[in-house]
Amino acid sequence: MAFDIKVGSITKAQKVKKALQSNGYKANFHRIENPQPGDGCGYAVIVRGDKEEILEIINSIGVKVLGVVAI
Amino acid sequence: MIYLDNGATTYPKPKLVVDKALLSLKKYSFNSGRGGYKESLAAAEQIFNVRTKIGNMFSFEPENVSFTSNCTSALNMAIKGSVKQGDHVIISSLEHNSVRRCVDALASENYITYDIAKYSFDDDETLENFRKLIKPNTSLIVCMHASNVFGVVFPIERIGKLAKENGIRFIVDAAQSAGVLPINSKKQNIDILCAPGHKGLYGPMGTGFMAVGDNIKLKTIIEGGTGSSSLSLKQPDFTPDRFESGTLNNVGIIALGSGVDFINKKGIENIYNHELKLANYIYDELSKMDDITLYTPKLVRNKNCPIISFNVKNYSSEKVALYLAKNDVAVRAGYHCSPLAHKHFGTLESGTVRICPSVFNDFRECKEFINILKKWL
Repeated sequence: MAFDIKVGSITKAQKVKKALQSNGYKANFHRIENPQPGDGCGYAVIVRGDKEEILEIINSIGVKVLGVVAI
Repeated sequence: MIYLDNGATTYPKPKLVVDKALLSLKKYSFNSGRGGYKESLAAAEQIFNVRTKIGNMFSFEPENVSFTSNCTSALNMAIKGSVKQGDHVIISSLEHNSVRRCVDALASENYITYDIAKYSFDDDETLENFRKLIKPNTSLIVCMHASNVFGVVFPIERIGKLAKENGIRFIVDAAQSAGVLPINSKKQNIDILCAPGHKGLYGPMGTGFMAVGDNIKLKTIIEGGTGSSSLSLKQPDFTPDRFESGTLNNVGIIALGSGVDFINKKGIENIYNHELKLANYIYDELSKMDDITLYTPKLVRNKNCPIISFNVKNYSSEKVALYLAKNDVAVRAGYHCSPLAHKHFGTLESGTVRICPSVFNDFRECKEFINILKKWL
């Protein structure tokens, strides 16, 4: 399953992308398409794989996840 | 031209820096961190790569590297963002005006107080001079890694340890040492590192950075658009967005990344060894000349950056620099924006002539410089 993971800033999105890639995931980042009220501008990472493992990797690099949407 | 003013900015820039700047102007002149189109994202990737390179070089997380327009703006952000009303700050007796004026402006508004710790050629004494100024309300020590006038290096690892033991934040001004001496923020207990991109890192002018350790909180002195959390009136609380309001200098930053590549490829130790050999050759030759006054002992590995200050007879430093300029030698005369350092070394009346070789200088140029000087005296 693929997920769109909101992380806020473009720098965080890139850090997440690098971390996921170094763990064998194919990941990319993009601008949030449908920001929720309060989101404002921001970026998200799109990745396919095991949700728990992906979130664990993101957590291990100290990036706060603002939202996860299954796509 | 024999360019020996690399303490002001390095020249020439490596070919790969020039090439990358031109390429960036053509290919990456899109607003990074704002757009969602592929060109904007590609520019953002380039910027992130430079954050990572700088983070790796100085031991910081990439997102904790915030780009600034120069070292002075980085120092202002770091110092003014760190202190609160009533705090006490310690700076060194060799600080550049980028630090001195900054703390003095805060002190003149009765916001902080500050003291000046004397530099000594003896590291133990320097450390003791910092230690004895610590007060219960001392919240910050700001110290340059190396003097921009006299090249002497501070024992920053030990000063950092002293700061850490006393719960004091430690800011290092690496204007002359970044890319010249090894810096490891974790090993050297540096909370915030400020550096220019255009000196020892061989990037373009108009670049610099402030790198902060994990969990370092700073107030902002500039607020504005960051491309993130845009609906909030509050400046983002995460780096680098918190400190990077407004459009970034993509061309400069991306080319700075090539400057870091250049250093990594050459090896920072090889660069330093080369520069130190040249500086010591010049030092030895100057010390043989009766009419020359030098202010420091011969340059010692890891105790000096390749910077020498001198004077000729009772001539003004400007007169010497003018003579050299007429002979196509570029040096810097005067006070080097560092009256504190000149006061410390007793050159407040005259200023000094400063020379600073880079990786691109060679012995032939240094000999030529000495010959030009000899011909005059």
